[in-house]
Amino acid sequence: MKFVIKKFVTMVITIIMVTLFVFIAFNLISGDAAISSLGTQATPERIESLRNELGLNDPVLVQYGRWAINFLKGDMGISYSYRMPVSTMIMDKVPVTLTMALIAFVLMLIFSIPVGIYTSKHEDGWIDRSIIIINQILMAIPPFFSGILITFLFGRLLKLFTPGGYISYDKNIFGFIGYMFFPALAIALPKATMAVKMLRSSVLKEAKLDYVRTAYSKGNSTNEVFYHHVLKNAMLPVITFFGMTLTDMIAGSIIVEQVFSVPGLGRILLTSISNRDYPVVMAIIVIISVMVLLINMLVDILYSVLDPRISIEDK
Amino acid sequence: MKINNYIFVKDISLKKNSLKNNRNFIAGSIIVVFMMIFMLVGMIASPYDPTAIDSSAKFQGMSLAHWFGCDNFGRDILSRVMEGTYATFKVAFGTVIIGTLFGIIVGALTGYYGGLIDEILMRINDSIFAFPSILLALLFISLLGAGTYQVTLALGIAFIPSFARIVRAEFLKAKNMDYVKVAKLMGASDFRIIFIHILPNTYTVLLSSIMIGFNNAVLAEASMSFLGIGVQPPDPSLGRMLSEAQIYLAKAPNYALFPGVAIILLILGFSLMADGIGRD
Repeated sequence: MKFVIKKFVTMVITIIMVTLFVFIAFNLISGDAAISSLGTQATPERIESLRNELGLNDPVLVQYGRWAINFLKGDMGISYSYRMPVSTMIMDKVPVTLTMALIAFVLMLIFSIPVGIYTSKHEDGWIDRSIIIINQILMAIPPFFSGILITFLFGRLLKLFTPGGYISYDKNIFGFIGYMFFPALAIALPKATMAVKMLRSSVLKEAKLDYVRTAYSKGNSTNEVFYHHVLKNAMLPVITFFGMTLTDMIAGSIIVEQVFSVPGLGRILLTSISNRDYPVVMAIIVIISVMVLLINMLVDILYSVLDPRISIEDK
Repeated sequence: MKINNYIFVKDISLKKNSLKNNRNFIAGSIIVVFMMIFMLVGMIASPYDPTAIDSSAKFQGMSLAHWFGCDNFGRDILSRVMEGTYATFKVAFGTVIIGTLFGIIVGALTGYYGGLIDEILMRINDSIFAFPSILLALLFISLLGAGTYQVTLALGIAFIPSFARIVRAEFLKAKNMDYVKVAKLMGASDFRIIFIHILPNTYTVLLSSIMIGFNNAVLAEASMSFLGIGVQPPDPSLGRMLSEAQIYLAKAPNYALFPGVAIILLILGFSLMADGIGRD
């Protein structure tokens, strides 16, 4: 419990640090809001009074605090280019990106765990060898290129989905998930292959340790030793990796959304970057950062539950 | 039964392992050298001008005149892939230089001296490290603007924490070793101990993380130019070619295939090399 509280406090501090950095950085580049809204022709008195009104003369930390409270309330500012509240622009995009990352995550688990177990149990067999070679090549395919290959193969040749024919989740939830399967596959592929490689090498490393010999000498069969002892320990580093990939997948979806023209957070982030629409960019970066940090904390906690040694060491 | 064998023939299996790793390293080097030659040929004797537009050659398929075919403007894809490989490599090289240089400085100083500065820098480092580098690079791009140099700088900064982390761990280990203590007794300065004594001893770890760095940098550069915020047109880049080729996928699949394969070969080469060095 102490561990959980400690992790939570660290996370809150990190969130504050990160958002403060983002806030200051964006405030520096976006220039003086009073001048930009009144134009350079305005009298200094008018600019000064608007600055006071907007609170731009307050210390940075006060401005940050005000912004953070507004942000938590759901007021994320007004988009420069669309002249509408940022929150209405991005809030319905969050589930799209999250669903994609989650499907990708599940696909990765479904693929990597059985394949990893198989290859490590049949080390150096010809199937293992060929899987490793294929695995190594698949690992080198960037998600946007595998996305293009998937579009070509499943979309154009096999006609399993219409490329670019995104179906919104509030219209047809099953169509939505069916369409999202393909971009999720593109995101999952490189991560799954990495996980296979990690799981395999982790199992092989564990299998060399002394406790495995002890377990054998106590009369356990290979399967008992494997599933009760080796796999449990070998999974620990892989679980850390899984946690890291979930955050990578959320970030990776920014790119894959472009390939499959999915209107998620990534799309709007990129158009906003090229439009210099700073309030939108800032809001999206903050939202993704908080998601990333939250996931990291959960992974740390999960990890300490699975491996009690961690939380003891940390004290 | 396999696991059983493993325990009793420990030594043999170890030998087998290192041989296999060398094979990885050799395969990786061959691929990387091949790509280097490919790139150099493009720099010295590119078959066509990579930006020359020839409207009569639009979407020409693969032929003897145009080995990889032509794109939507009739530009020679082979020349463009060569030039794009160079652009990708340039950014990756710059990124790794920035990342390693500052990573070594931060990692060495924090690992060697420890104390409050170490604590603060590592806290910052950890919170940056927790971020996917793509997101970090996008943040810097939105602050700096798009372009080749900006992307190099953004990716370089995004890569510093991971290098710093690795170097710091090595320095923590080395700090209490005998050779460092002896060097101290002999009156060597801290600067000398850090850069002349400890640093060269971390080379295996450094080398493999540099290779991983290249691998990630190629991927990141290609992603950035795929998103249109890296190398700016009309200069060719592998990522941008892919994003353009995507529109003409049904008409000219070769347009997407070759830049994609070039990216894959670069990543595959560097990751195999990293594997070979890393697990010695």
